[in-house]
Amino acid sequence: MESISLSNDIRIPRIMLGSFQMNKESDMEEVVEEALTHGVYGFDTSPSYNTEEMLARAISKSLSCHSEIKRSDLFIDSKIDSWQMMESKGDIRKYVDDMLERTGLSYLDLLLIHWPEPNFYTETYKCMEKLYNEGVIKSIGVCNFRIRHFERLIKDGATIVPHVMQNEIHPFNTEEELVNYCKEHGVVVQAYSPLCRMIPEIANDATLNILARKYGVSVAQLMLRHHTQRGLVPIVKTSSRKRVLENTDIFGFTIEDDDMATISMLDRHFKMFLESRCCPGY
Amino acid sequence: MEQIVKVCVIIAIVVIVAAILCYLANKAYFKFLRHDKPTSYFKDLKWRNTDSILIGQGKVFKYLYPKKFQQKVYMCMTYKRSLDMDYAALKTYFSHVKPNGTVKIFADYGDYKKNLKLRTPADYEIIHPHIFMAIKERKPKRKTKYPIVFYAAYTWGYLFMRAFKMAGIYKKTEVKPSRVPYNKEDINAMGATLREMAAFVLERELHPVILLMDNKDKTINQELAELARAAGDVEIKVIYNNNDFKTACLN
Repeated sequence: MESISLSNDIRIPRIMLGSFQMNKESDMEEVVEEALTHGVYGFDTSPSYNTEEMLARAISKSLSCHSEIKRSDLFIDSKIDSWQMMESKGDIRKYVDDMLERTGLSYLDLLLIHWPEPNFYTETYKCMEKLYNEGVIKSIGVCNFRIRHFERLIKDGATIVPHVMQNEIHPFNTEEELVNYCKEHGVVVQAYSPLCRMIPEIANDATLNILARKYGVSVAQLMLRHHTQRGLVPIVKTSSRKRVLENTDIFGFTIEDDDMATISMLDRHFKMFLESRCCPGY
Repeated sequence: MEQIVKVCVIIAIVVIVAAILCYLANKAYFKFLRHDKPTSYFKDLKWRNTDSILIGQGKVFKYLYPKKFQQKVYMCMTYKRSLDMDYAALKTYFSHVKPNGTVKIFADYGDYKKNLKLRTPADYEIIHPHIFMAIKERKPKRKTKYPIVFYAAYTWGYLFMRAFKMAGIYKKTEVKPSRVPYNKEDINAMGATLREMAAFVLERELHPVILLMDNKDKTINQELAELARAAGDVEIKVIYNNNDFKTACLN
């Protein structure tokens, strides 16, 4: 599968597999196996998902059946959660060491700040910069940031521009301004909840359905293609093998410019994960 | 002997009836609480991008009928809470408001000192646990499971207020101004928190409106308003009666 280059020349796959709310090890194994078979080499996890170890085990198991795929072909990211930032006052090294030990991974391709915990996210980021400089993690990034958070990072003395930013992005929340800001600063944007959890308002949206019929694809495929054409990296989550194939089979068609704009016009600042509910004082 | 048995039976019946009442009251409390404000954000889907959010606590709460909000106001006001916990509620829920929307903060000087150190079971239910983590407090799990026993005054008070509200008793009454006397220290402390809340709102590019409950001593609200305005462009309204309050909430 194609990949995009980060500002430090590390390559990130154009589509990744999420693991939020994946509770069954058997589902994880099936989905990872299906993903690797179809060339999806990017995986996203977090301590709060409780899937780090499960994902690592599933990857390790699948790799043993795919001798042609090496660890260096994969892109695995994880996150630092707010409680970890708060407990360590930003000195999160022990959590990274612990994560690597628990999962048996020798390194992480990307470590992200999960939420900008108001009191500790800049200290946390500076600690991540040290880990990056030591080579423990290959790239660093942030999630759920607004422009004011980037500006505070700079003001508080961060020296490395985040390589990646991960936010909730879908046709109902396109984040044009933020995405443009990231593009200007060379930050690659990952989109989580790229399908807006397929709530009825999205699945039954007339515009999306008309365009999906026009291109002969599903509404989900149309939305994912919209992301990749915007230069974003969608993180799709599914527990079904069939869906892995459907969600990743999106590079055989191109959405016309007018239709891209039409989809972007569905933006209504609608979020599934409200910032302050997830990160008080956001 | 027969007399003793009779007394014992009566005591046993009283204890059983009281226990059943407490159990039902405890259930009713949680039902009312969830009705006032759903706590899971996936249940709150319709409450996205509201015009405004209403934060605060006080005696005017009993005059509020959130059904009239018609999904325009995200309701975060309650019956009794400390101002610090109001700030915590603001930090937890402000994202429900649309960009450039309004944050209405109702504050009553009459309740400020009385509720200064108050922790209610609703605080632990509604406010994000990270707020408590930051101030090194933990949710008392057992106590908050049975608020009717461990927070008896608060919970019974809340239940009676809700019952009277349902019966329409408050419809015939009018809110009265507070009568707590002037205290410079309290005014400065309350004003500082209001200013901090307003600054928080402004930093997030929302519009703060502070609703101050009328006080018999008019200088109190004047000084509070002045302190809060130090944050920047803050709208201040004084609430003199029920109608003022309803209008301020809905507009």
